[in-house]
Amino acid sequence: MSRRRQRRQGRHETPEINITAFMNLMVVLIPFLLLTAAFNQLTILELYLPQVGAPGVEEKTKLPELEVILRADSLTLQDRKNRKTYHKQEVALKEDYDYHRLQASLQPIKRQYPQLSTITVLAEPGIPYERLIAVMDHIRAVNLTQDGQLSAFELFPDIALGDAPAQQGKR
Amino acid sequence: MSRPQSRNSRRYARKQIKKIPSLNLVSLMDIFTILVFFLLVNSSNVQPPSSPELRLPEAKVEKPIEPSLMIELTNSDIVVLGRKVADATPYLQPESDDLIPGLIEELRYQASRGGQRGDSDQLHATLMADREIPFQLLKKIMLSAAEADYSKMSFAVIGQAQDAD
Repeated sequence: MSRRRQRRQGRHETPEINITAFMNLMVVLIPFLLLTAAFNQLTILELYLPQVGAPGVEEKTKLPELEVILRADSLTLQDRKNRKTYHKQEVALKEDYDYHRLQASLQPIKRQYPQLSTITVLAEPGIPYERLIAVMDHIRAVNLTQDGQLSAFELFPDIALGDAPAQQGKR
Repeated sequence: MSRPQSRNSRRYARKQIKKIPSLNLVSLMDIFTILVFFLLVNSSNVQPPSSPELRLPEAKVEKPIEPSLMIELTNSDIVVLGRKVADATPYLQPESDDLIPGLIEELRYQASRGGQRGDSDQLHATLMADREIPFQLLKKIMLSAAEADYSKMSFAVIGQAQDAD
């Protein structure tokens, strides 16, 4: 057999893999996975539930007890212990709060007390869930651009919920 | 393979071999392989509620949903594991009770069957609530869950891409 012939024969005998089984597998797998695919990822926000029965520990610390009070027409960030209001904004009814200003006033507090991670959100009965989640999301962490790169900075991730106190003068 | 006698017949034999139809499926296999891996990564065992009455809020959290007791809450129903346990409408009134007996009963039953416990051995429930739910109803759900010893509570939300604030 000449060398030329050998080469020609080699070209014709391309190895054929039987991929029928593989195709069957794909045809079954792809519709199945398409059905279970989560195109919008479900995630969770965890609630912080203060441990009842250990109140003595918190009394000793000098950390402020931060509260965010959500009302239909205003948002207040205050320290319950020192009766100090850090931030207050008034919004028109049905309008969203200005979360950027809230975060801007939370950041210096976090810088002053880096170990503080708890905050309480107090809401009026009529506050919709969506707004509550938006507030919790914005006080949990802040996204800052640093050196051209986006990174999340933790603010106050341990969020407790409660009822807003009755408003003075509007009873 | 028998050796062809003449040049003509040899050429004819070669033509015959070439005529066998063969599909080139390599690129199709590539696509399928990539698709399968993409879908495997994207798949999750927790199905989002598809009811138009239950639209989850959105937040920029990345913590994936954990297996736990799912409480679905719309403006009309309170549903635990696909079964309606109470009507939500009466609890939307401000003067209604703080606790929801139907929900507490169902949660206690689920807890007695060995509910999902988190890392700290607490019973863990995840709330899927419509974005329009007012806080007073939410509070009643949480109080009822706490009453039934579900002390760890999380809110299911739709994760969003991170962007600068």
